Amino acid sequence: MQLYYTAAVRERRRFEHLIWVALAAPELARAAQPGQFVLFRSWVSLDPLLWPALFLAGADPTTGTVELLIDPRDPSGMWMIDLPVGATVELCMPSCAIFTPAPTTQTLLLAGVGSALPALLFLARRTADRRSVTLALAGEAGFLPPPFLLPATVEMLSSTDGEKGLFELITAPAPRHALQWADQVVFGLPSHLIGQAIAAVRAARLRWEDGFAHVIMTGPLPCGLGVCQACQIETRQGRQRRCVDGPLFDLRVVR
Amino acid sequence: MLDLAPHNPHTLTIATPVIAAAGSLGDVVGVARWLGLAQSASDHGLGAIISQTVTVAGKRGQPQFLPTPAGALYHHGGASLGLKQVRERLVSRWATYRVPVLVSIAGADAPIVAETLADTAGIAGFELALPALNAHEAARQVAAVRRATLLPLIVRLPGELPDPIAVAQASLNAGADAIALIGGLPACMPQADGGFVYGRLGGPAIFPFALRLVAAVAAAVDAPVIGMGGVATPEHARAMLAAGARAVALASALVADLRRAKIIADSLRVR
Repeated sequence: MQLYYTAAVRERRRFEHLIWVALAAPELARAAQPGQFVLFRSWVSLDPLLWPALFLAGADPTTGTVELLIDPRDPSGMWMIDLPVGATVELCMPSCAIFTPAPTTQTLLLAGVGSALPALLFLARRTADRRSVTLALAGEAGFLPPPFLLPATVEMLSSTDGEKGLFELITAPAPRHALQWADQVVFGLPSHLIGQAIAAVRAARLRWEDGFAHVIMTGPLPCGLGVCQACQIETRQGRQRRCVDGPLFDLRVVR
Repeated sequence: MLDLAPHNPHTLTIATPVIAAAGSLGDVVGVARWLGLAQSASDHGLGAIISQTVTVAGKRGQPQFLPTPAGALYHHGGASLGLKQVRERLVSRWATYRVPVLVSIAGADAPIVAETLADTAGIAGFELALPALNAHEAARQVAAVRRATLLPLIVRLPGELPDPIAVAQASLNAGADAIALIGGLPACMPQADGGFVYGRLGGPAIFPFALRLVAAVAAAVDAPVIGMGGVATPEHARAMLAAGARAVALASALVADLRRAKIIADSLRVR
């Protein structure tokens, strides 16, 4: 299994404030799965921590392309915005826990904020052909992924009320209480919103089985390989590293 | 082949002059497959690996690793491997790697850990990390570890010593086989909440300072010196060797890119 990849910038577009970048990386595109992150840098820097970790927003093995959505407010990734088409970059994609829908799942709810949104976008694109997928996104105006990146069958709910808007979206009774209807849910959240996610699931479901709710946890991933241990979180199985033990966790396991 | 412990009957022979500094590969097992440690040194570039720090009981902690201009601030957060974990889970794996693995030890636990692991297959030696102290105290700590084990012993010095030559010499007189320096510089970084994270600064930002100290110590002592502190490129490594180091150790450079050891080792081999 490969860890490091070379890619070339194939296309770059601005969607309001977000920057969408398509990279030509055939081997990476074949290996990439929704929920995976890449550490990303240019050839020139020796700075040890200039590898921003970004969740992949999409991958197409047939065209050999992977997609990134870059938030220009993220200082570690600002330099990527100005990369010209044709520029070469290095990517490191460690293997990590990924989400596989249960065979019985017909209705999948994806809900998130912030840097996990590309991962949910990718997951929606990969799962929409066989399931009913609802994607609930919350953030600030101009920083949400555009709906046209999604298949037409994906129902997209969005809120520009920031983080607090997410739980209003998925628990609102009208048009339907998304969290009550879903067979499975995948959140994409920073650690400070985990408690709210657990409370929302508890309130919506009388029974909450293992495997019903997952979370892709965001936050800094300095090394991405489990070496520095700076990304540890508390779980019922002890401390686990988001980069190699996650970033996908069963929501029941996270403390 | 280089011997970093020429006066020790156990020897510490390394195939390349590039060493993974303490903790730069964590417990080593997690990244072994990416590095190909079951292969020869020509595949991964490493002459030796120093493990994460081992203490008697092991400690769960929350390390922090923050970017700084041209560097990285690291705080171990109290985390360490435990003896039980090393003996039951790790050492059998280390023994299968085609590269010597040394155990990093520090503090009051160091002699106990060294004594307990001294006869364990898969452990090629120890690296004792000293804090900022004087020569007398350094000699006392090194001697305590030396009494506990006859295996090769590297002593790592921090960058903030008032008299690194005296501490290096005292460590060698007390039984150390080699000296490694520098193990970072004390530093802190501001946080968004107004507080500070205190830790040790590594990365290319500290390389010139490290090079100066390595040159001074290498000129003054009659033992192998391992140059470390911001080594990230073949040019850095060559400068350390030119300053008198017998080998270099990579820390933040390896955390950032596992291929760095091979790049540097191949470059040194070509010349």
